[in-house]
Amino acid sequence: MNQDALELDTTHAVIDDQQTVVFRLADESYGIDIFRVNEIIRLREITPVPRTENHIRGLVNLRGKTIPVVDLRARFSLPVEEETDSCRIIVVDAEHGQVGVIVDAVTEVMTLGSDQIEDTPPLVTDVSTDFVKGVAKHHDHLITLLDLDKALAA
Amino acid sequence: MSAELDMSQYIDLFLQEAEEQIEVLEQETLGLEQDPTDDRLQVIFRAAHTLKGSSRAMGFSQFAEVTHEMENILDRLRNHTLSVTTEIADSILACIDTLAQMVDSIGQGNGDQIECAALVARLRKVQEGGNEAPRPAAGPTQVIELPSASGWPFRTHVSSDLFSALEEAAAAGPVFHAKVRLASDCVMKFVRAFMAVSIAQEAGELLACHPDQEKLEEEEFDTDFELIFTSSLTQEEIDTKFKGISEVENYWLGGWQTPTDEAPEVVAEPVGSVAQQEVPESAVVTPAAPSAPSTPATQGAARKGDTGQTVRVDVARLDNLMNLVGELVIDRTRISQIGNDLSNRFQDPNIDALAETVSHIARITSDLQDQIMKARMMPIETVFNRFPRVVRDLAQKLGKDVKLELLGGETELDRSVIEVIGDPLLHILRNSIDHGLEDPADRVKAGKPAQGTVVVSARHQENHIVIEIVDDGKGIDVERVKRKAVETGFMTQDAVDRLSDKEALQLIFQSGLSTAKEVSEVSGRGVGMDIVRSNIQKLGGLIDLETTVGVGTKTSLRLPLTLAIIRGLLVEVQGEIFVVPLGSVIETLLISPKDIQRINQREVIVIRGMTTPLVRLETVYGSNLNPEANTTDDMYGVIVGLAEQRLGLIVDRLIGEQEVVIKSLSRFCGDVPGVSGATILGDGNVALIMDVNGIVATNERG
Repeated sequence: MNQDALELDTTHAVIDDQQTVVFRLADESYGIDIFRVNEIIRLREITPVPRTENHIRGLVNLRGKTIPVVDLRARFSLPVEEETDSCRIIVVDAEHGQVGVIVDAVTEVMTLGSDQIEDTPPLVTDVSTDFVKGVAKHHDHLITLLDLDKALAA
Repeated sequence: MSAELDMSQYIDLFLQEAEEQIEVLEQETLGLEQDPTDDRLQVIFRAAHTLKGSSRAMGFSQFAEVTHEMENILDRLRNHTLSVTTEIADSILACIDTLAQMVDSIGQGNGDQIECAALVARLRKVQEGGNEAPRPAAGPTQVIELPSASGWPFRTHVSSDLFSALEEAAAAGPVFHAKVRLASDCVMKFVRAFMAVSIAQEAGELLACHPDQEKLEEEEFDTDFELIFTSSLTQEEIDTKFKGISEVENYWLGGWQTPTDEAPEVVAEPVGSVAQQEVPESAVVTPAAPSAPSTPATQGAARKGDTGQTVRVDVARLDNLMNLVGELVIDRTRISQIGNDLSNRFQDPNIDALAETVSHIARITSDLQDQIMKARMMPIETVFNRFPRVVRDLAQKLGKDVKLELLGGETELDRSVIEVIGDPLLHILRNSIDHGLEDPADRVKAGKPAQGTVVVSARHQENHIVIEIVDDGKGIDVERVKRKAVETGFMTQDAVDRLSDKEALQLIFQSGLSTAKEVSEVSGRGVGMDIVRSNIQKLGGLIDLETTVGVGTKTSLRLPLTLAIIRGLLVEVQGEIFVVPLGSVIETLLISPKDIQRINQREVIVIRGMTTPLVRLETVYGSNLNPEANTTDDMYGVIVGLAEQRLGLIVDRLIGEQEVVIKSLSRFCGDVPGVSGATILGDGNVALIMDVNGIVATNERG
C-alpha cells in the first residue's frame, strides 16, 4: 500500500507544471509529456511487418531510419476509422528507441499546472486505466494523460 | 589520483590504446622466438614503454608495475645481456595475458586489481637468471658542470660529448636554455613536461634535456627540468609558447652560455645508454635521442606525420554518415524523377541544366557512398593477429609441431564482418590442428615432414571475401562420419548409404556429431561446427569443406564484404515489396499453376529433373498483408539455395536488382519470422529483407 502511495506522489511531482502535447483520438483529448516527443510528422507510407501484434502498423522512413509505428486506436481497442488529412505521427522516445504513434490530430501544446491534474476517476475515458497516469481539466474539458511506457509496452 | 581531475573521460582512450599495444606486444613477442632481431625488440620495448607511461598517468599502479618489470627484461634483451629463450618468451606472454586481464577488469570498472605478485616475482627471477654477459664498456665521459642561472637553485651537468655538441650548435645559431619548475601540486607532470619538450621540438632541434626524456615521461623527476634546444624563433616567441603551459610555478628562459667565466668542474662518470638507468639521480644531461643524436629532428617529424594521417572515429558516426548518404541517394532519385517529369512537359534550357546537375550529383553521391564504405573497412589482419598465439599454445599443449602461414592479411572488409568472424575462424583453426594434423611421429611414418602446416588465406572475389584454412593433415574419413551418424542414431544405415561423399561431409555440421576419438580440451565435444556454420550463415556467408584422406582438409568461407549493404532482388508479394538477398538466389523462373505438383501434401516443382519444394510466402508471413493486391495468375519462382538445399519461393512479381542498405528491425517489433531486416528503397518507402536462411530452416522442419 505504501508503495502505491509513493508512486502516485512521484507521478504528481513529474506532472507538476509540465508542457504537454495534446492530441485527439476518437473525439477525446489525450496528453503526453513534451520531453518524450521528438517530432511530429505527417502520415506517410507505412510498410506492414508480418506476424507482429495488431497495433503495430509497420515501419516508416524517418530520414533514413526505419522506425516502427503504433496505431493507438488499435492499441486502445477504439473503432477503426478512415485516416484523414489531419492525422499525424508523433515520434516519441520509447524503451527500444524511437517509435511513431498515429493520432487523429495534434491540437496544441499546453502547460498544465499540478492543480489542474487529478487522479484518474474510473470509467471517465474509453481507454483502459492501465495506460493512464492522470486526468487534467482544462476549460471544462478533460485531457487524459497517457503513461507512454505502459501504452507502448507489449 | 587527484580528485580535481576527472580521469574517467580518459579511460576509454587508455583502454583502446592499451588493447592496441598489447596486440602489438603479443604479435611481436611471438615473432621474437623465431627471429629475435633488434628492430623487433625495439618495437616490443616501445609498446611496453608506452603502456607503462599511460598506465602510470592513469594511476594504475599494478599495471605499471607489471609493464615495468617486463620492460626491464626487454631492456636486457635489447642490450644483449639476456638472450631470448622459450622461458623468457613464455613469461613475457604470461605478462601480456595478465595485462589483457587488467584491461578487461579496468574496462568493467574494477580497476587493475588482478593478482600479479607471482608474475612480478617470476619476471624478476627471469631478469636476474640471465647470463651476466659483460656490459659493453662505456668509455668514461667527462661531465662538465654549468653555472646556474641567477636565482636558479640547481646546477646543470653536461657530459663533455654533449658539451662540444652544444658549442658547435651555439656557433651555428642561437641555442636556448629553458629551466622549468612545475607547481608542487601539479597533477600531470608528465603532460606538462611533454608540452615543454614539444615546444622545444617544434621550435627547432632539441639538443638535450635533463632529466632525460624517458624519465620525464615516467615522471621520474621532482618538479624541475631543463631543456637545451636550437631555434630560429626569437626568444619572445618561445617565451610566449612556454607561458602557455599551465601548472608551472617558475620558469626561466635564456640563451645558452658557454661556461667560460669559471673553470668547468670536470667529473669523470661512466655514461652510456645502459649505464644511464643505473646512475642514481643522474645528474647528467643526456642527448635528447641517445640512439641517434644526429637526427632527432627528422625522427620527430616522422612521428608527427604518422599521427597526422589517421583519426580515430566512433563507428556510430560512420554509421550515421552512411545513413545520411542513404538519404542523399533517395533524394537524388527523387530529384531526377522530378526533372524527368519537367522535361517531358516543358521545353526549357534550365531543365536540361537541371538534368546535368542531377547526374553530377548522382556521381558524387555514389563516390561518397564508396568512400564511406571504405572508411569502415579494416584489414583482416586484425583477426589473423590472434592466431599465432593460439596456434603456439595449442601446438605446445598437444605436442605437435605446427607451422602457421597467414596470407592476404591486408585484404579489407567491413568492420561489422571483422567483429563476428574471429570466433568461427578460430574454431576451424583449432579443429585443423587438433583433429587434422597428426603427431610428428605419425607424420614421419606417413612420409610427411614432421612439421604440419596450416595456411590461412584471405582474398577478394567479386563482392565477397574468401577465407581458406588449409591443413596438410590426415583429412576427414567420410566413412567414419557415416558410421558415427548411424551410431548416434542421427540417421539410419539406409539413409547414410544413399549419401554421396559430399553430402556425408555435410554431416560434420550437424550438432552432436564429432568424429574425434577422444574429447579433448580443445575440441571434439560435438558442438562447434554446427555453431560455426550457423554463425557464417547469419552473416549471409557460405562454408564449404573439401578433404582428401591422408592429404589434408580445406575449409573455405565465402563472406560478404559488408553487412551494411547487400545486393538484393526486389520482389512483390501481396502488394508489398520484399528484398531477397542476391547471394542466396540461384535463379528465377515463371511458374504456371500446372507446373506445380504435390508430394506428401507439399507443393514442389521439377526444375531440370530436380524436385524443388515450393513455399508460398503467405504461409510464412500470414495474412497480415493484402491478398487482393495480386491481380494476375502469373507467379514467379525465386529459387534460393543454402548449401546443398534448394527452395522455390513463390512471388507475384519480380521488380529488379538493387543495392540496399540494411537496417536492423526495431526491437519494438520483436522477432519477425522470415524477416532479417529492413531497408529504404529509392522512392523513400521501407521494404523488408527476407531471411532466406530462416525460411529454409522452417521449411526443413516441416
